[in-house]
Amino acid sequence: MLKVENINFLYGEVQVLTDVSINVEEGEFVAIFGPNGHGKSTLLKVICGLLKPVSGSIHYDGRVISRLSTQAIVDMGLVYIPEDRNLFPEMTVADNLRMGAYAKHARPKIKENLELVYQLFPKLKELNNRTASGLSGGEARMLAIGRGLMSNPKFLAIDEPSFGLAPNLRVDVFKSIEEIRKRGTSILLVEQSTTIASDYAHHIYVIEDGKIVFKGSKEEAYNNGKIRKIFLGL
Amino acid sequence: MDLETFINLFLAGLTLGTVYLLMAMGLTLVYGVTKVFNYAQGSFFTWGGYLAWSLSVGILGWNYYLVIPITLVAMFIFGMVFEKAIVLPLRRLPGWDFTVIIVTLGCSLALDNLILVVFGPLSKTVPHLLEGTFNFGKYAIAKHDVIMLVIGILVFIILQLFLSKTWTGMALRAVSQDNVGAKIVGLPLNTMYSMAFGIAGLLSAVAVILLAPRTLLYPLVGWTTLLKAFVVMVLGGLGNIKGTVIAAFALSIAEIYSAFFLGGIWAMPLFLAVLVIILVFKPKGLFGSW
Repeated sequence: MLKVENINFLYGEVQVLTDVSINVEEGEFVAIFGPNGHGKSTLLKVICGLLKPVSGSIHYDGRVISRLSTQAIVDMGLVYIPEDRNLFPEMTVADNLRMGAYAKHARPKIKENLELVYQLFPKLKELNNRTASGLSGGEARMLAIGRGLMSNPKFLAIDEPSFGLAPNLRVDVFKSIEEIRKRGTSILLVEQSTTIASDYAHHIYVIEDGKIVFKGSKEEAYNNGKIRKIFLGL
Repeated sequence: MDLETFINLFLAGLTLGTVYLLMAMGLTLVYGVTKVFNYAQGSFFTWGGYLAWSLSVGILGWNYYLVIPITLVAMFIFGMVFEKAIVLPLRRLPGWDFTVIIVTLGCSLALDNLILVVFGPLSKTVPHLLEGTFNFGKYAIAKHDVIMLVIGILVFIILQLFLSKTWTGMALRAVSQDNVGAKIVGLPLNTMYSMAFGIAGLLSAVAVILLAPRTLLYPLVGWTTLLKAFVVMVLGGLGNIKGTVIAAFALSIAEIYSAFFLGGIWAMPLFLAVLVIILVFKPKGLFGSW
């Protein structure tokens, strides 16, 4: 469904991504692990069109998307959920969710997706009329994911969904993401190091210094001494 | 000062306030959405006025009530085209925001001087929306003043409803609140940028149609209004709607009373003094929260 081939990206003179290739099949849950500042977030931003790669190509749903605008990519159902959340701070929770459904293909499904969001995150329903700037870290994270779901995604690219959350909330967030996947949305997420995400992932990539240094199943990652120690924290 | 004068001055202040409010909303909207201060908005005001004048009493002699909607639509398109042709190409440059501010300043000089070349320096008279007065016993109020107040407030309310209820209006607010968030939900940012300029053009056209019958039209008419609207925007607290409303009416009423007691020449010094005081003591404006 998503095929990233030999992507290179530079911030000015600094090479952030080097020949990165990854592959996500339809209905899969794929996790990319790696330390901070090693290009994980950049990779997601390149995939969703916020940044343009210097070379390499990205295929999604049978089309080359590496030169498309973020708007065009969202219209194809590939939705990015940033670590910084990028919520609309002076809008209510309800309006933030509504803006998530701005894309033409998402508007007819606004009701159904809203129900799904409230079902996954009942807390958001209670907070409906609160402005986004007044939410706690965990609530803002839920809203960011909820807003992404309102775009009616076929593919979600999620940046550090558990970052800054209390341990019990982390489990909840990953359960929700797995639930979203079961309903037919493919998932690509990046995390610094966590064992929870690897519980759900079909495939794991490890990125270091902008290069993919490991690719395999969870079991293979566990059996690889270096990967296990550094990135899975086991 | 007798009561009648007091009331008349107060009304004159209120009506003037609606014009400052509409102009300040245009500036605020453009600044919020595109992060650019648009000096050319004063020229939008001037061009709107000369367009309405040319189509009606000045040259073509069309019915003024037909000319008004044409002018509004034309100035909306003018604003959008201005953004697409001049601001958008500059966005790709490093340090574009400062460049754009200087370029809109340059454009406004060019636009105003074009008016001077084509129409000459002499003032033009623009028709009132309604001639005559409403009489209440011994009091008389110009019908145009009442219309100014009604239309000014109505346009402001429609703008608020547009911004809070419609997809496009909410999208404009979303872009102003988080640019990256707006991209992520798939908003067409370039359309939003030109839309903000288009609405500024439209608001300027409403403002000039309301105000020009009182001040007459001359090539620099937009500058005065732009500078006053700028002070309104700063006093109200950038992007704060409630603050902008209060600032618009407070300043316009103060302007009218000071003009009555001290002479009209003191209006601009008053505004600039307020600007300096605000920037020194309360740089975020009276109600500012940014």
